Amino acid sequence: MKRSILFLVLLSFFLGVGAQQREIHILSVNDVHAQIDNMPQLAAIVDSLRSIDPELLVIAAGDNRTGNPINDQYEPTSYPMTALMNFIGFDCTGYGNHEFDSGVKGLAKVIDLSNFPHVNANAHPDPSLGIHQIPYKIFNIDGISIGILGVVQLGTHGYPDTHPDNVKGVTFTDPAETIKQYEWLAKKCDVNILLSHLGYEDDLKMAAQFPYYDLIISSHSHTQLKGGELHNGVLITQNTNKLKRCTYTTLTVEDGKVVKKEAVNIEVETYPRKNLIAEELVRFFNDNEFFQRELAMAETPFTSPEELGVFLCDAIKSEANADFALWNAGGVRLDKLDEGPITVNKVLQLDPFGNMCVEMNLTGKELEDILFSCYQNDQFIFPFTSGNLMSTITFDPKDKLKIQKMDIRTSDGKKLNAKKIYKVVTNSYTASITDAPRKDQGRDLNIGTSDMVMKYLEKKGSVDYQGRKCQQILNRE
Amino acid sequence: MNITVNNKTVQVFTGAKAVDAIRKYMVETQKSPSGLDTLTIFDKYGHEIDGEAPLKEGDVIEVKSSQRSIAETLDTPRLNSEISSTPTKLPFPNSKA
Repeated sequence: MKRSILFLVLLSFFLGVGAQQREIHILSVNDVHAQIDNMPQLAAIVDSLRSIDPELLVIAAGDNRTGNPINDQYEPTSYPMTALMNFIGFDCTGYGNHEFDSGVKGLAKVIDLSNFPHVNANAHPDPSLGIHQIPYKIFNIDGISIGILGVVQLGTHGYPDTHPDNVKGVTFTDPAETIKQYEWLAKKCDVNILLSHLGYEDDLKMAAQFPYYDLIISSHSHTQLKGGELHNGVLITQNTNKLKRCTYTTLTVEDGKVVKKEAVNIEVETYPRKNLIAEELVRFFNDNEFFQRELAMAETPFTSPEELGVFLCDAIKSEANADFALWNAGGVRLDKLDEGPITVNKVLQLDPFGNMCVEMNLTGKELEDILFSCYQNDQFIFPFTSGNLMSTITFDPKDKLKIQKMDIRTSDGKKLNAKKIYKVVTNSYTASITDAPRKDQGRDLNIGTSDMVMKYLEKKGSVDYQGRKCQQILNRE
Repeated sequence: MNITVNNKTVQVFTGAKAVDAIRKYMVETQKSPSGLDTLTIFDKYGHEIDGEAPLKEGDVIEVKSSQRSIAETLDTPRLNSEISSTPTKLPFPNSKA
């Protein structure tokens, strides 16, 4: 009996479907945003899957960085993620818009440190920048060619959503137009994969326009799909972000064509096993002393949240070259700061929320309205401003929350011009909780406020904010 | 840019993330902008998205509560108990009203 079963299995192997079909397995992640704490679980998942299929392709769809200071502030930048991806053995990554966040020099260094290629076809760096990307990558597994083409989203200004300084020397072409130019690649390969950092909605359009792709590994929009979705015959996969999950895709190839495609999600964050070496690497990076890096010297101690608030506002005002800055009082997370070295760690304690810097063009009247709106929507505490503004706030003696009079003056004692347009910067939290009407809702400068504060400190070398004030509060304890 | 949250259009800065639009929505509908991390956000296709998801002009998102505590967050008035007797919207200072 046993012999007959073995015979049947062997017969089906040599003669049956199994003999002509080959499954291609892909493990993909997207928008990891430097969540290195989940990399040991991912490594364990990859270990398990490679024990089944050593030819497993491990692919990232971009935005590997930005979101964890341990990674982003590391010298060289993003080295923890790169080292962990090298250790796991990623086969390639696409660009996300955040790959540019450390500028072209930072990106070039990350690529040079990576053991896997960065695949992108619609970013065209000047050769002098030394960015060693490739537009596509062809893998060959048991005679089956798998072509992977990478594209990154472009914002309204025609470059990925990052600070414009970060993409100096790089030109970009429309993703769809770029994909068209690589139709020959699709004809050449048995399996075609679009490694897309365009977002789910645009990927639906790509699936409609380019049905010859077997799979779109989607990213950018942080969309949680339930495994894969078939649109116009194209399988689209994506998981939210920060490596909560990854996608395991199986493409069955027969006679040079994909005949079956399916994808399932694997929980990473809660995966019960960890690769111990990856875990040690993560521990090493998390314990790294870079947090203690000294940025500048506090000549005198900061003795109040107000002094710290003025300092934060001055920092973003200076870095954004703005006229004024404001900061919600609840966003200043230290009450005081000792004199002496100001470290990365201290800045991240002071401004820990990962807020972005938002720039707005406001009239004097709109600025006053926003200050009041911030007061109303931030626990009834008046916001801090840059040191070149002084707010005198008089409360109603009978109502501790009701402001009777607001008098906002510039450092030379003049009132704000109600009609004049001022360039004002703030953090994204303040921008989104202030509902006072304004013509300009503002724009994200694509740089985090804590990054700006660190840059400001490094430029200044030393700071002295003792006794610095931006507000005088009357009739309130 | 204009973003629709739970059928209400809010104006947010260019480059805002889902969480920014929801904060604006909460403030404009006089709900507490705290505790957003307990909410579940969906795109117009019904897919769950993360609070850090980037938005673009015209995007439509929905915030849903799936647990009692989350429902409470959505229904929590802006003011805490200490100041609950105060009107939600205070008059702008310097006005005669």
